[in-house]
This record gives sequence, structure tokens and C-alpha cells, in this order.
Amino acid sequence: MFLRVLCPALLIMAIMLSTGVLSSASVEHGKADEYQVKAAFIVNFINFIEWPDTALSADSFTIGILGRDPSAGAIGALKGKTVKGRKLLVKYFDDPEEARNADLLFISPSEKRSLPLILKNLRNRPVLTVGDQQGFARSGVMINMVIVRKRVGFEINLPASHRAGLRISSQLLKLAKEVVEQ
Amino acid sequence: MKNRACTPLPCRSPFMFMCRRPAASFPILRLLAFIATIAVMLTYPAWPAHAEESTSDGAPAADLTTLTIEQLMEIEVDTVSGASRYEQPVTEAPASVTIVTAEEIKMFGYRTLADILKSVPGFSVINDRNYQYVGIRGFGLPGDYGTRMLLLVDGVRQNDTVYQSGYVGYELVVDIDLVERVEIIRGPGHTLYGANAMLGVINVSTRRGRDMNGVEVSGAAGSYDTYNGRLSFGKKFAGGLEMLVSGTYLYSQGQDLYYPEFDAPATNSGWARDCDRERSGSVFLKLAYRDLMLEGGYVKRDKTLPTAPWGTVFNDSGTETTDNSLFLDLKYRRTFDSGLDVMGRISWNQYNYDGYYRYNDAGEGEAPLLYTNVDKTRNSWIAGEVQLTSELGERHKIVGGVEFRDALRMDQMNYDTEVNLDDRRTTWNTAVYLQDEYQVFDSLVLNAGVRYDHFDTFGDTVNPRVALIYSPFSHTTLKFLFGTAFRPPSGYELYYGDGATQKANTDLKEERSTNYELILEQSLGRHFRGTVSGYYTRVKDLIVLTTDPADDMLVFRNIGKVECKGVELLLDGKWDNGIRGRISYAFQDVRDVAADEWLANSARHLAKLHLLFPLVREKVFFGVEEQYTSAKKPAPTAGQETFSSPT
Repeated sequence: MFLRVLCPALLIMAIMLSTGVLSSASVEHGKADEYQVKAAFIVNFINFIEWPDTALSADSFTIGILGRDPSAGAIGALKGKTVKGRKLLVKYFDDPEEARNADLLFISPSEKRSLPLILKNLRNRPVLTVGDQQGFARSGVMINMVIVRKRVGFEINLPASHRAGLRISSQLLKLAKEVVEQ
Repeated sequence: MKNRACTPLPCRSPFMFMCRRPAASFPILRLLAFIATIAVMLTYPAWPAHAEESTSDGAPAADLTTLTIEQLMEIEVDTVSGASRYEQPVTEAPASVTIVTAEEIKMFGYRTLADILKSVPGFSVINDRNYQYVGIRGFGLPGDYGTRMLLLVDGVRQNDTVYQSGYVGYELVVDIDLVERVEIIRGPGHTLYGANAMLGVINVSTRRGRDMNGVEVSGAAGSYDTYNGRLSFGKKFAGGLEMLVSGTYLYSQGQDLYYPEFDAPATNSGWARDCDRERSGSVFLKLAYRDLMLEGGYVKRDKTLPTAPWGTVFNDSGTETTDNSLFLDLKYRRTFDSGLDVMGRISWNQYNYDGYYRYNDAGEGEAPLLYTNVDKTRNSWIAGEVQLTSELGERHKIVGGVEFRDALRMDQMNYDTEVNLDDRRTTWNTAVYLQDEYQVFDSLVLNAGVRYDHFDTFGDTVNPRVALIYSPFSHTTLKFLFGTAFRPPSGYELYYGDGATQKANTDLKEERSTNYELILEQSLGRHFRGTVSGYYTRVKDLIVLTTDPADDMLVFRNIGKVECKGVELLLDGKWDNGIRGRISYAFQDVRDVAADEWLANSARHLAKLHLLFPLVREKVFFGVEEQYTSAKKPAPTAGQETFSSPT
């Protein structure tokens, strides 16, 4: 009977104690929606990448989303903005085959399982692949957004971009959390 | 009395089962569980100050694209796709899962959890004008108060310890308008779920304050003098505090009902008037600040019974039941930079039941001599859980946890002119579990776990669960599931005895089920997604109300054995113009092995069709819902009392 009362009491205390220590530490600042920020990153990446001369069309730049859109329209809202003197288009793909025609392809978390197949389909195509799942950069996605300390950062897979004929500016490489080099 | 009509199986072969002594109460075990719990909490004092200094004070979302990468890297984000085990995509879940969202609830106008479950493949609901009974994959019996289905509200177990009921009508502790999504898992589901997670797990998640962002008022009037109203407020404040508070009231006069079996002058020519009234009131509160969340809910619901159950007087509005449930839950959850996710919670639940049954003591032709039989339950329990989730390397994700539950009060009473039952007890249980999600290859995931439970009533049980998830192609997922699950004997089954017609059986042990399932999920072009699943479930030691030939008393015994086999087909469609649809078909074969016959109330075929047409830009919808259920075998008439269930 004694334990019966003691145990829950201890548990409560342990929780209180551990949270009490923590809550005093930090102040909450204005937060932004994860995918609003990631969408802004995607636009920014374009400026730091050089595509082969013949790869891009003269007046438009296509961002593709492969799989279910996790961004609740945040990436789609980029449509119509101007980057590199070109109008942004946003297209949704279900099939990796079709996705080859995008200039930048965001690979949704829903496609995690079929990543090897997707990358095989895009091999040697000048498509900048972007993802946001743990391990994506190592698996061959060129830019992978990660969340570290509640902030968005990114990892770069350099060989993958080389194979596709894309050049990533050294400035972007410097900001990367990790650069995969082999 | 409440469960009296619960005759899950007609007992044809009342063979003896092995007698087990109730397990000795093991304070040592309990102590160990807690030492583990506390140790786990204290080994992570590496939670010190993680001072957050952000320079960009939340730039307006629309302008984010004009910021430089350096600026963007400083913005603190609200993750929506945290490491939560509940938020993994359906295709990755180690189970057959259906998710119903707030949007669908609104569009189809579902009013109760029962309405939602009715729409889900493989589920059926029957209503006896007191409670609603959920059947899962053809296994559903009147009088089974959701005991073989685990019902969670934001992760807090709602099944009580006396009846183990998971309520799905207006006696559910949360108003359906406050629900963000309902996750419905067929089969035993994860290792993370213990007792009662036998045929399914229903996890109800509530809305966040920020989703409401202001005051919501809603009211409705319906047929049979039904009125309901809700007032809610939700907001996330600048300081970081998020709150949601809501109150609901419902009143329904109900119908005047005609029952041919009572069509005699003495019983109002078969008409039950003013005997179908329902009243329900509930309040809900949710406060969140940083990693802490406090949540609470209370509901009280009463219902008069027009069906004159258990030989009560027909057309007497004094026969009614009152159910009230209360819960308070304090939860701490945090994901550390290392990837470690820590969740700790402590909750307090209460469930009270009062049943008033009007009887006539007078003989044939005499003046009525009415009296009231009162059936009461007082149940309260405290529960705690600590759960750790961590990724080990790139390929392993480990979840481990410790749980306890202590029913400090478990009282059952029955009295009228004299006291028939006054049983007061306490009971407790504890559990440890460990699960690993192992990415064997990029296309193959092995999800394996084991769970150990100890109950002071029957002893120990160990349950393994294994899932293999294979995605050979980008649009194809194949799952193989194996798992065992259990249901402990309830307080009612163990201890209810009125000294006249029913006796207690403290030797009851747990019911056990073994489940095998094969699922194929396939995307078909852009618009369709198809799912095919086949399953085989075996339930043994089913607790059945039977008659002891020695003294002719009703008693619960572990003598039932049931086999469920079935196939479920589901096709989901969604088009760019906003039309969506879902069509499902289930074939289910549920057999009572001992008697070699179909189980009562089990339909062999279940077909459902849902279509939604947007009429006014995603605001007004026209929904169509069609259901087909093949004939069911009527409920058995074993035991002396059954329901008349006109619906």
C-alpha cells in the first residue's frame, strides 16, 4: 500500500523536477512554420547553383514536388516568383519518370522508401534534388534540409551534383552542416 | 447488472478449465518498475540550459523568400513532422491503419465517434438505445462495451477497470468537434499498446489551441427535440502558452417507440413514451507550454431506456443510466538535439456509473408494487508512463518504455430493498516494452517488439509483435504482420455477484489473441490508392458468461474460442476538382470454434461507399454515404436475459 502511493508520487516529482530545470532556460521567440522556411530555402538554393548552359529554358524554372506535398502549399506558393530572371513554375509529380523534366525536384518524405529508384531515374539529368529526411544526403540527394536546434540547415552531396553537371557555389558549401564528398 | 446481458458466446460445452491461483501481489515488481522509471528520468540530466537566442524575431511568413540563407538559418521553426511515432505516414505504419481527419468529420457531419467508426472499413456499430457497441472485423457483441478495443484520447487510456469500456457515443469524454484526427488501427497494433488492444486501437487526437485561434460557437437543433450547443476558445499566446477550453451540452427528448412484444393494455399498448431521453454535458481543457501539456476532460451523460431491459417495467421513464468520466493528464515531451525523444506522463482517470432499474414486485392482477434497483460503479485510477525513442545509427529506431496503472478504487454496488452487492477493491498492473524499427534495406523495414505486462489479478503475460514492411516499387507497399494481444479479466467479470443469480469468479485469467495479417497498398496513378488485406485472428480463453450446472448460477469462465478470417478491400480516389470518394468491401468469417457456428451479430459482408462533391469552393460539400451489411445471426439467447435491441 505504501509503494502504491509512493511510486506515482515519485514519478510526478521526477517529471516536475526535470521539466522545472528546463523551462527556466529559454525564452520563446517568434516561430515560423517549418515548410514556409524550407520553401524559402528552396528558392535561395537556386541562386547558388549553376546549371549546364543548355539545361534551363529561357523564361521559366520548374520546381517539382515528387510524392505527397508535405508543405501544405508553401512550396506551391512560390509559383510566379522570379529567380535567375526566370518565372518559377511548380509542378506535382507522382511518377519519377515524369519528374525528370523538373529543374529542381523536391522529394517528399512520402517517397522515402523508393528513393533509390527515384535517383536511378534522375541519374545524369541536370535536376537539383532536394529532400528533408534524415540520411537523404548520404543516399545521393544533392541538398538535404535538416533541423538542428529547431533551425533549418542543410547537407550537400557534392559527387551527386557533379554527376548531374550542376555546380554548387562555395558560399553554399560553407554554410552546409555537412558535405558528403566521396 | 449493467453487463448482465453480456453473453458473449452461447456456451455449449462447459468443460472445465485449469484452475489458476490468482497471482500473489508482488510489491517487488512494482518497485522495480518504478526504480526503472525514475532511473530513466534521472539518467538524462543532460537536459540543461539550451538557451535559445534568435536574432530574427519571426519574419512575416510571406517575406521569408526575400531573406538570405544566413538569415533563414537563424529562424526557429515549429516542426510539424517531429519524430513522433504517431505521425509516421500510413504506408510506414506496422499495421492496417485508417485515419479520419477533422475535415472529413465536418464534411460528412459525423456527430459521435460511433458515426466515424461506422464509416471505417471492417467496423460496425450497433445501438441498443443505451450504448453503442463496436464490432471490429465481424467480432462484436451486444453487451461488449468496447472491451477488446483500446480507446485513447491524446494517448490517455479511457477503458476503465470495472467494465473496460471504450465509449463511442455522447458518453465519450471529448466532443467530436474538438477532434483533430482519429487513428484507427485494426489488429493488435504496436507493442506500445497493452491490455485491450486485441482487435483494434482507436486513438483520438484533439485540436490545438492555435488551430482554433479564437472563439467558436456552434449550435444545432434536430428531430425528436434534439438540441446541442458548444462554446470553445483556443489560442496560442505570444508568451508561448497555448490553450483550448470548451464546453458542450446536448439534450434529446428522443422518440416514442412501439414494441410489438409489449402490445397489451397493461403495458400502454406497446408504446414507450418519454423513455428515450438523452442528456450529455462535457467540458474539455488543454494547456500547453513548451514541452509540457496539461489536459483534462469531464463528461456526464444520462439516458432513459425504452427497451425495458432485464425484466424491468415497460414504459417507465425511471429506468435510466448515468455515466460520467473524468481525466486529467500531465505530459512532458521533448526531442533533444541528439535525436532522443523523451515522453513522460501521469494521469488521473475516474469513471462512475449509476443504473436505476424499475421493477414491479406485484403478482399477476395485483396493484403495481414498484421499486428501484440501483447498480453503481465507482472507479478511479492513476497511471504513469515514461517512453524513450532514439535512433541508433542510420538504420535503427528504438522505442522503449515503462507503464503502470493503479486502480485506487474499484467499487461495485447493487441494492434495492436490501444490499445485493458491495464489493470494494483496488487493483494494479505494470508493463515494460521495447520495440525496434530496423531499416534492413532501403526497401525493407523490420519492426519488432516485445511487451511484458504484470497484472495483480492474473499474473504475467508476454506479447511479441513483428511487422515486415516491404516496398519493392515506389507505389507499392507490402506488409506482413504477426502479433499477440490480451485482455485481462475485468473487475465486473471477476467480482460481480448478487448472491441470487450471478456469482464472482476470481480465478479468471486473461483472454489471448494471435493475429496474422498480410496487406498490400498500391497507388494507382495520380488519383487512386488501393489497399487489400487478409487476416487471420484466433482468440482463446474468451471470457464467457455461462451457467454453472452445480448451482445454476451465472458465472464468467475462460471457455470461448473464436476464429476470425477475412479480407478487406479499399479504394480511395481524389480528383483535382475536389471530388473524393472511398469504396470498401469486407468479407469476414467469424466462428465460434467450440460450437462450430457463426458468431452472433457478425455480418459476413460489409460494403461502404463515400462520395464528396464540393459545391462551394471547399466550403460546402455534398456527401453521400452508403452502407450495406449482410444479414446477421441474432444475438444468442443463452443465459436467461437478452436484449431487445430495436434500432
